[in-house]
Amino acid sequence: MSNQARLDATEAELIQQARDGDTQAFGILVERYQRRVVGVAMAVVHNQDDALELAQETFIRAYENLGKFESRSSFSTWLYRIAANISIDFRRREGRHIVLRGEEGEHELDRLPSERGDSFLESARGELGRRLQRALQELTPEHRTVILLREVEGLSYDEISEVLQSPRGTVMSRLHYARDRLRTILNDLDQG
Amino acid sequence: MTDCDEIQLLLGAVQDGEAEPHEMALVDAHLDRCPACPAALRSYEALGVALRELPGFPIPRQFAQNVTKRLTRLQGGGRWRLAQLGRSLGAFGSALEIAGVAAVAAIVTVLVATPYLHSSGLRMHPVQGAAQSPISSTAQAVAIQPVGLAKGAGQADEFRQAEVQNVAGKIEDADAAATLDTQEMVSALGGGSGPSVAVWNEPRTDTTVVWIPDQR
Repeated sequence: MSNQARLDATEAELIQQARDGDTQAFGILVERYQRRVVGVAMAVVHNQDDALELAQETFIRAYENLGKFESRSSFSTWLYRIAANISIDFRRREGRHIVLRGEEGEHELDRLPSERGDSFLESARGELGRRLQRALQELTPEHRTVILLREVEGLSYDEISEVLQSPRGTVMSRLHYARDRLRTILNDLDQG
Repeated sequence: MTDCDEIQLLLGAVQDGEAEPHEMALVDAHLDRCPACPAALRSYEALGVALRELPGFPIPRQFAQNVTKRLTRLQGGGRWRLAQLGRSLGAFGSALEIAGVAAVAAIVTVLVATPYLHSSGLRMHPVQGAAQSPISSTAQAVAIQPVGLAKGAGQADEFRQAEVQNVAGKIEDADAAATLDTQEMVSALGGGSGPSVAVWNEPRTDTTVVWIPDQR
């Protein structure tokens, strides 16, 4: 099949072609969803290098399991669920949850990006961005994940519920807590 | 819980467009008369804007290409072929996996148990019969039957010497011994009408061999 034909194909056609072993067809699906999949991984692990690697693993796993994909959920939601599962497993294995508080924490946080080899904090534009990044670090991974999936990735409550395999009520309650907590932390930073 | 506490639980859902119609009506009515909650709603909106404005990082241009390259390499590997075989078998794929796991478990069990079988007095002796065996010509298929333990050290030595001679003789006749009736051997092992697993000793390498015929 020509490249142009692949680009014009519907998502269902691309999935079927990929099932038949057409890696180029799957490559088009990767291009369509890579940004969002990286975003989901990033929401969970909060590290750029890890998020890229986990996103790649997500697509590999998805390709290997295309035969198990059913049309009950959308392909994107299925993909994001794989990304979330892989990322959550990674986070548990690596144990990378850091809670930094106060002056000592700020010094530690400033050192982190160069030591870890990413520019996560450095890339934040403006003072508000930097403060917000610090505040996000203080959330638990579960709360940070839901608020980033909702606000940054734009997933609906039902999609978040399906991706994280959490009840909708849990998603709503975590969102509420995360928003409240971020407001409080930002207020504290303002007054601090 | 005050009215404001209850309403603020719903503010996020209202902002996200996820509130039910009756919840929207409740929040609207409260916001008209409360000075604090509209400020909370505005702060949630501002928070959302600030989060969306956080700079993302660029995804490498080669990302999709790297993925497809890895997939192409994987497709050439045994792991991929096994997964493909499983998929093509459809419903039998999972049964195949279970059979595979059971086979591995059987092999591991025999390999681990063999030293204990020897020490408990189990001996192997050849089973004669017609040929149907996938084993190499240098191996001899034997059945495992419990034998009485030799009484006293002297008799145990004689017994062992006899066994050594027996095995040595059988190695010389390996080619002839290769033509053994597997069905008969397996039946001798554990009874039952159908083949399950065949076990024999490969004397040259002192290895216990397990053969699992196709299960039907």
